[in-house]
This record gives sequence, C-alpha cells and structure tokens, in this order.
Amino acid sequence: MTQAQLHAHDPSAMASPRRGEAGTQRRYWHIGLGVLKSAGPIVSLLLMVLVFAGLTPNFVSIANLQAILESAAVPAVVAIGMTFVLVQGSIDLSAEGVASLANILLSILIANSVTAHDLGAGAIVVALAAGLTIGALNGTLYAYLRMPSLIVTLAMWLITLGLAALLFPSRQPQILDSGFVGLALHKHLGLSALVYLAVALAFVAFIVERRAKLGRIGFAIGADEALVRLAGVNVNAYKVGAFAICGCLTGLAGILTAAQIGVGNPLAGEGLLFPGIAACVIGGTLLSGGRGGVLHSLVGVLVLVTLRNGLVQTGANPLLQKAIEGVVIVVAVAASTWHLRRKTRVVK
Amino acid sequence: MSALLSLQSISKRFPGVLALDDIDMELRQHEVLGLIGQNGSGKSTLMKIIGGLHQPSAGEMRLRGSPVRFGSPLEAARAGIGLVHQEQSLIGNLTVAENLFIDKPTDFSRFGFYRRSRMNDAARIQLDKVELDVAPDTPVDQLTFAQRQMVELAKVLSLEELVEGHLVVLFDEPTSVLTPTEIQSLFRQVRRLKMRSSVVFISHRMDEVLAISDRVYVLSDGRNVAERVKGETDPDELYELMVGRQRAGSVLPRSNPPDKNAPKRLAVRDLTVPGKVEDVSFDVASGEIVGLIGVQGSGAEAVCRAIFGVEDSHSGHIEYEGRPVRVSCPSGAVGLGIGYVPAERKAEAMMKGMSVCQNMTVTFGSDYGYGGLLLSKRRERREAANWVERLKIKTPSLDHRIDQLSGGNQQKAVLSKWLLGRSLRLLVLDHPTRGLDPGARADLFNAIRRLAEEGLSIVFVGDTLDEMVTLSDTILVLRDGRLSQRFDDVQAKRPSEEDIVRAMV
Amino acid sequence: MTPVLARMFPSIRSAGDLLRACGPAIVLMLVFAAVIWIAPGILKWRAINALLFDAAPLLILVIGSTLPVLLGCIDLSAAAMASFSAVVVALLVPELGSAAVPLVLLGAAGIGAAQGWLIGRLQIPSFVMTLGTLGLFSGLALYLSNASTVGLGPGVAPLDFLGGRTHGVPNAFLAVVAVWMFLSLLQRFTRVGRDIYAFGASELAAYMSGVRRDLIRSCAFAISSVCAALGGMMLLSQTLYSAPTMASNLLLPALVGVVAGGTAISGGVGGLSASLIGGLTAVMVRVGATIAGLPGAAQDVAFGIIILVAVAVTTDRTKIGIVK
Repeated sequence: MTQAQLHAHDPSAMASPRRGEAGTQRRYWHIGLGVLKSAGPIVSLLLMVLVFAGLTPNFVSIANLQAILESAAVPAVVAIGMTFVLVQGSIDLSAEGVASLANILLSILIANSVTAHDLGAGAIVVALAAGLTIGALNGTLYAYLRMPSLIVTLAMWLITLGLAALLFPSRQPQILDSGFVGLALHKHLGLSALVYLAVALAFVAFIVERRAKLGRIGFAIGADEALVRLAGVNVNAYKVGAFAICGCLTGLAGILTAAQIGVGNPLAGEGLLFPGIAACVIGGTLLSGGRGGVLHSLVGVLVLVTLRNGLVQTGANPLLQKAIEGVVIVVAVAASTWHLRRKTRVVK
Repeated sequence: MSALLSLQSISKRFPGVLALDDIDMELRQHEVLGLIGQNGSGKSTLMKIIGGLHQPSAGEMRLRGSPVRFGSPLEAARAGIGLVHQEQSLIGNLTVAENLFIDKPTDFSRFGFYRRSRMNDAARIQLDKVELDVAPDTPVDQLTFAQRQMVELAKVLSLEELVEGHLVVLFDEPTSVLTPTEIQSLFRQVRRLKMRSSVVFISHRMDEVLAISDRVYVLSDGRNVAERVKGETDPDELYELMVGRQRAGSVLPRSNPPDKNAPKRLAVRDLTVPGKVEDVSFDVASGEIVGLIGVQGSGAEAVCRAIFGVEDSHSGHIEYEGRPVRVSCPSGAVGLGIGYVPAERKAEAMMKGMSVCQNMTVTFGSDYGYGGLLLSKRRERREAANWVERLKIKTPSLDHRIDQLSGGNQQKAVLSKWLLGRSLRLLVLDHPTRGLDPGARADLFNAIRRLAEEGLSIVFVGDTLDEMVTLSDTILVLRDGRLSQRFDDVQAKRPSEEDIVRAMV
Repeated sequence: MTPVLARMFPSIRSAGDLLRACGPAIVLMLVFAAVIWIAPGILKWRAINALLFDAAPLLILVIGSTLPVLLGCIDLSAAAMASFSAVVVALLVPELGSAAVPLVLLGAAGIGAAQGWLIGRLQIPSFVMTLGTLGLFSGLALYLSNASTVGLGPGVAPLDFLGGRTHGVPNAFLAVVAVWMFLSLLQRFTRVGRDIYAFGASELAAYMSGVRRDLIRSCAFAISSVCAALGGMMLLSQTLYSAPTMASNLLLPALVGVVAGGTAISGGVGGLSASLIGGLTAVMVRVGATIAGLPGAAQDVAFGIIILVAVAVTTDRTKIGIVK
C-alpha cells in the first residue's frame, strides 16, 4: 500500500522550520492576548474609578475606600469559595441558604438574647462545620449520583433556606457575645477584622489554587474532565473537595454577616448568590470551567462593590441600581470573553 | 525470549455485549507487538484492561511471571505499564511537568501541595529523553501539536524511574490523527523504545502495523483469530483475516467517467482563510469527485469549512451554479444545496442520545412535510428507511440511538442526513473515513462513488494517498495553504504516489 | 413489553427507561395522595377550582421556562419579566385601556427574542445573560413603579377575562391549557419544535446540520418571555394591583417545576407535558403545605427534597457523558 512509501519521503527537514516560526509568532500573540485578557477586568475597574472620581469628589477619599473594602469583605469570601466550584465547570447555587443557615446556627448557639446556649467559639465551629457538611453533601450528590450541580445545589438552596427558617426561634436572637460582634465593630487602621480576614483567606486560597493538588486538578477538571479521569485521578474526591470549600466559605460569609448585623436572620444570605457568581464571571472565571481564579474573582467583587458605591455617591436613583448592575454584568462578561468568539463555539 | 506479559483466557463482558471472548496473548521482551482488528473487535477494550482502565470479567493476566490485577491506571503505572491514548491525553491548562506526573505515584507533593522545583527537575530529565526543549512549567496550551506528541511519549517514558525492569508501552491508534511526517518520527521513538521495553501497537492501517511490528495478532469479534510473524504475511492476508473477505475489488470502478463538458457547479477563486489558506482557486463540475490532500496544516480542511461557511473569516469569490454566493453560516450553505460531513464526527456531526431517524431527518426532514411548515413523520421515516437500506446501515431500528451504532454505521447515517435532501448538489467530506475500519471504508466509498455517478458533486479531504487515488476524479494538492499541484483525470491515468507526495512537501 | 407498546413508545426499551418516563408522574401522584390524606376536603370541586385559579401563573411560568431548558440554556429572568410586565400594564392601562395587554405581550416577545439573539451574538452563557436581565427587569420595575404598588380598576377586558370563569372553570387555567396545547403542537409538528430538541442534544452538530441556532434560541427565549408576561397578567388579574416584586418568589418554583417534570437541565430531554406534570407537583406541594398548616420554610425543604428525588430518578445518565 501507499502509506509506507509516503513515509519514505519524510519531509520533516523542509517543512518544520516554517511551521516552527509560525508557532513562535502564535505564541507571542497568545501571550499578548493573555495579558490583555487578565488585565481587562482591572482596566474596567480603573476606568470606573476614574469616571466616578470625575463625577463626585467624595469618591476618592480614605473614608470611601474603607467603605468599599468593608462592603467587599463578605462578597469576597463567597466569591473565593465559588471560584473553586466554577473553575471545575460546576456551579453552586446554595450560597444564600447555606449562609442563612450558618447565620442562624451561630446566633442561637452563641451568647444571645433568646436561647440559653453559650458555646462561644464553639458556635463558630458548629456553623462552619454545617457549611462544610452541606457543601460536601452537594459535592457527593453531584459527583457520585451524577446529578447536575445546578439542580443539586438549587435543591440544597431551598432545603437550607427552609432549615434556617425552621431553626429560627420565636423572637429574633440578639447576639450578646461582645468579642464576636467586635469583629465587625473594632477597627484597626480604619478597617474591621472582616476585611483582614477576607484578605488572608484570599491569600491562602490563591496558594491552594496555584500550588495545591486540589487547585491544580480542579483547573484540569474544568478543562477536560474525561482526560483527568483517564489519568486515574479520583475526580469525584476533588469535586467533593471543591464543594466542601465553597460550602465552608459560604458558611463563614453567613457568620460574618451575623457579626455585621448583630442579630440572627433567617434571610441573612439574601443577595449573596447572584452577585457572587456575577463577580466571578466579571473577573474572568468562565462558567464552563478551566479558566480564571481567585484573583480574578476578587477583581470582579471590587468591580461590583465599586459600582454600587459609586452609584450611591453620584446620587443615581437607587431604584435603578439593580438595572444598571444587570447591564454592567452583561457588558463586562461580553467584553472579557469577546476574543473567544468563534462560529463553532458553544456557550449554553 | 521469555514473556513479559501474558494474558490467559481473558474475557470482558459489558451489559449485553461480550467484548472480549477468551483471549490469549503473550508479549515478549524487546518486542513490538502489532494488534489489528475492525472497529468493535475489542482492541481498545483489551488495551484498557492491560492499562487498568477496565477489569477483566474472567481470565488471568501475568506480568513478569506473577499474576496481576489492576484496579486503576495508577496501579498499572506502578507496575510499569503505560498507555498512549488514541486521542491526546494532555490537559491544556496544566504545565508540562504536571501533565507528565498526573497519572503517576510520585512524591512531589507534601500535604497536598506540589513541590514545584523537584517536580520540574524530574520533568526536565524526562523531556531530555525525547529531546524536547521546552520549560517544564510551560502550559501545554502553548505547545505545538508535534511538541505535545513528544510530551505524551515522555509521559510514558517517565515510568522507567518508577519501575524496576522492563516497561510495557501500549499505543492505541496513535497514528490516526498524525501526518506522515509525524508518524515517521513516532516510529523512530518506538524503535528506540524497544531497547528498554516491550510495545503493543494498534492501528487500522495494516502497512503501518507491518512496518513497525515484530509479530501481529488479529482480533475479530472479541476473539484472537490469528498470530503472524513479520515477514511471513502481507497486508492482503491480514485484511482477509480481519474482515474475512478479499480486499481486491472492494471499491467498484466508476461506471461512467465524469462529463468533461458538464456545467460547473462550484468555482472557487482566490480563496483566502487568514492563517490557513492563501489564494486557492479550483472548479468542481457536476458529478465530479475532487480530492484535496496535504500534510497537516496544509489548509485542506479550512477550504472545506470555508465553502460550508464555518470558518470565522475568509475572502475571495465563490461561484455556485454560475452565480456568486457569500456563505456565512451552515444554514446558508444548506439553502444552496451544499452539505458537509465534518471530520469530528462525535462533536460536530452526531446528536448523541437521539435516534438514527432523528439524526437523519434534522436537516431536510421538513422537505417531506406540508408546505415547509408542518412535518410529516411518516413520509420522512419512509425516506430515512430507504437510505438505511441503500447504504446498508446496520441498526436494530430507526429509533435506535445513533451513538450506540458502530463508527462506520454512524458515518453512513451522517452521510444520509445529507442524501435525504433532494436539493443537494454538492457534498463536502472532511476526512470521511477517519476512525473507520477497512470494510466500512469500502462501503462508504462505494456509496460516494454511486452518488457522484448520479450527478452529485463531491469535494473531499482524504487521509491516505490510497483513498485519494481510488476515489477522486481530480486531485488537488495543498502545501502551506497554497495549491501546489493538480492531477486531472485520475481514474484514467493514475498519478504515481511519489508525484503526489512530492507536491505535498 | 408488548410489541405494540414498544412501537408506540420507541424511546422506552427497559425497566429503567420506564421508571424514568413515569417517575415524575409517580412523584406527582404521591404528593397528591399525601395532600388528600392531610386534607380530604381538597377533592371538592370548589377547592380544586380555587387551586387551579391560584396555580395558573406558576404553571404558565413553568411551561415558558421549559423551552430554554430544552436548549440546554436557562432563563433566570422569567419571574422578573412577569413582575415587570405587570407593572408596565398597570401603568399603561390609564393611557391605552385594554390595548396595553397585547402591546406588553408583544413587547415581551421582542425583548425575549433580543435576549436569545444576544446570547448567540455576544456568546455569553444564558445564565449570565438572564442574570443580567433579571437585574435589569426588576430594577426597571422598581424604577417605573417608584417601588410602590399601582392599583388597577376593573374594566380592562383581557384582565377581566383572565380573572373570570367559563362554566365554572377559571379562564386563567384554560389559558394555560391553550398555551400548553399550542406549544405542544408546535413542538411535535413543526421544524422549529424539532430543531429545539436537536439544538439541545448537541448545539454544534445541529448548527453544522443547518439548524439556524440564533433563530431557534430567539424563539425559545421569546416564548419564555411571553409566557412570563402572561403569568404577570394573571397575577395582575387576581390582585388588581401590580407590585414591582410580585412574581419574584416564583423564580425558584418555576425552575423546580421544570426539573421535577424530568426535563434535563443539559438540554434535549423532556418536554412540555413533562413540565405540566412537574408544575402541578410544585403547585401541590405549595397547596399541601399551606393546607397542612406547615410554615413556608417546610415547603422549601419539601421542594428541595422533591427536586433531588425526581431528578435522581429521571436522569438518563447514559445520555450525558460528563455531568457539570
């Protein structure tokens, strides 16, 4: 047959230099794009700061910067957790329920005005453990029963929201533990402990994402799960791990909310979910997985929080805030993924 | 020579299917063992059992004399067995080093954290073995196709340090998506590998298997039907063993030569696809089969995709049936009567989970309905059944799921999706035989030939010179995105294969 | 299975398939039985009648949301669209009278189609797109209504019709049935209907087979928006005032209805009849919990568990390789 003869005329000597050159060019082009891609959200953040600074002089002030960071702390914690799940190409919708549940658990177990419990730091541990368990349960149902993560976590959103409401005692529990409430009240360098905590978490999460197997394999699962399975990696364990982290951090967000508002609220998690996902996506973490990361998500959080803050500062109609945010989400995501457009690309 | 790996009475049963039936096999030291068989004959299943991805239902596997049973690829790797997958197994957003060691028991991580410098140093050693000069922390995304192939090989070679004694390296159809040049360099690596390991090599292409192997096993229907030593057999005998019928004459000659004065169906002028194709011009007459060939990256596939309107941008003029057209999306092409069978069958051509009938009627089913608005399930089913019969598609029923058919039958169902169209005038086939075994290939060629005789124009990109010369009326050779040579009247005066290759490189 | 049945239901080939096909209906019957056990009074015609009247807005939202899900997309904006269109109708009625209703439905169709078209053009996930429009619609509803309720007197013919009864059957429910029948026919006998399934099974393969994916996506999202707007009108006809967040608590139950019916979130599997069953399940849970005097919280928990059970039973895992 012919193939053997074809091989006899091996053309590698002639063909390869040209191809190599093209490859190098493409590589530089690639790197250039890469820089642009990761810089996109930062550029839009800076642009937004410039616009708001031009519109209102109060925007650029230490006090306002502190206010922005303060209101970014809780969403940042949620977004960091969410990133681990999104990077794998899955999604976790249970954030609001889990945060509410953790909030209630904490406020009835710590020294409070309604129940007799006073577990102190133990209450924090219980609330975190609840978040972790629910996250792990999400991951287990998703990975081992092969049900879509969107559905599993949608169900868990409802279940945890319901549990939070059922656990809510007859009266609203006022948190009496002064040390705990102090987390949000006492300021060092004008910032509460919540901000420092969020920054520290981001640092740890970044290391985990870049250096730990959990983070690296998570990226790989998002890029091509089938290949990772073929390599003999226990993919399900990493999935459960990511959901457990997400659940735990979401629980933490609920706890921090309790410190901020000082009472237990069965709806404390409200408004954490969609902005959290939006922040990740604006920052450049793709819902399809494999790209983005913790730092991306943090930039996304800052974009959203700055936008909110700026709208208030410039005196925009507060009723329109949601509408403007909606448009910004769509535009930001479209802009940051514009270079990925292909006729044959599938986006669901 | 003693046996490094021996299989005794291995069987594998999947729900409803006996994939492997009582297989005996022996792999000796310093040996390249060829394994051939049609699609569905059980070659890949056998590889997966040896590589630890599947576990045998019955039988025993002995490695270096002692019985073994692998629960996972990781366990197989620990024992010194490495599998080079059919499709590339590298993960784009991980680094080269991470890819090399992802499937191996290593001590590069402590408490779940990687120790990068140790891992990169170890990776460096592996990359040196295959003479690949890239930094171990480069993301695989940024490598060229050929570089990745080398990383793939290094991934298997890195077993050496982990295992005492000889390795077993399994290649599962490594050549099906490689160009001749790349195949050649792969063969050099395999020969070098023989020094320190035993190799099992699977391919559809008998000449390749004969060129590289010392011994060949032939599988058919999950059974080991023959064993041949190199030099005592030839491709024709192997083919016969595989499919049980003679190879010669399997593709019928064309009964009526294409009419020289037939009207032009397609005229492509100065077609340019940025980065892929430059200034390509050619004509296709009605009833003509035009074959495009070139090494990988020559742009033949891009020409097809530009005609069908799925390249992101292209310039130049395309005239269809005498008038200039601008095709910007597949539905536009379909409206003109142009069809396209993509190379990536699983991703681009088949709707997995849907029935054969649904797959066949998706494009033109509405032509059999009422007034273009309402569908007639009865009439389109009849038409689909008609084509199932004509193309001899083996399916239990029209409602059977398409992904449960064999590759050849899937491809024929994809083809008949287009043939249902009464307005179809031009069919573009992009590597139509990829992943098909020789029997299915011959069936497909005969179908294409008959369609051309009925007046359908065909543009196709082939995998081998053999299929180009067998099928085409005109062969166009592309090199680096440009048309380098054309051969007319191929069926009347066959060009020598040396001539075609010379134009390709 | 007998050959006749096998020919009638070609997709059912094994006991597993049968369970998957009947699972949602069994879940519905179990829930229904539980409700009867808790409150036998539910079987009275008056009670059923009232139930259908209350259920209509949710059912129409479930039916509408099914089409994007069949494509493998999701429409998070449906409930916000319902509130938004109710607000707009209430504001327009003093100016335009009855014409406001068809006008708003038409506008909803346009907005939905634009949404679907933009998803394809901008190539952003439908989750993100509709998350954005969810914010946009609810923000605009707040802004236009100035965050307050807008009252509406009787005398608007289409709304009076939706709020009325024919031979004792609530017209709103009849409207749901009519929409369901129309869409079912569309799905079964037209090219658009079939293309939706092809798109859902494999968008890329459908595109490469000549399916006009931008058109199909626009159609699906337009239908979803129109159904949502219709749901908004039904709410408006029941309460006779519009509030900017009146339908926002329907977002999750609508999704629950779609998935509890067995429509796969990955697309291509399920359908409108399935959604009707799923929607009725969601309704029964709500009603049952209310009758039994359970707090809303217990209702949420029940919803969650039903989703998990229904989806665990109905997912055909051989059809999806990788679950995300």
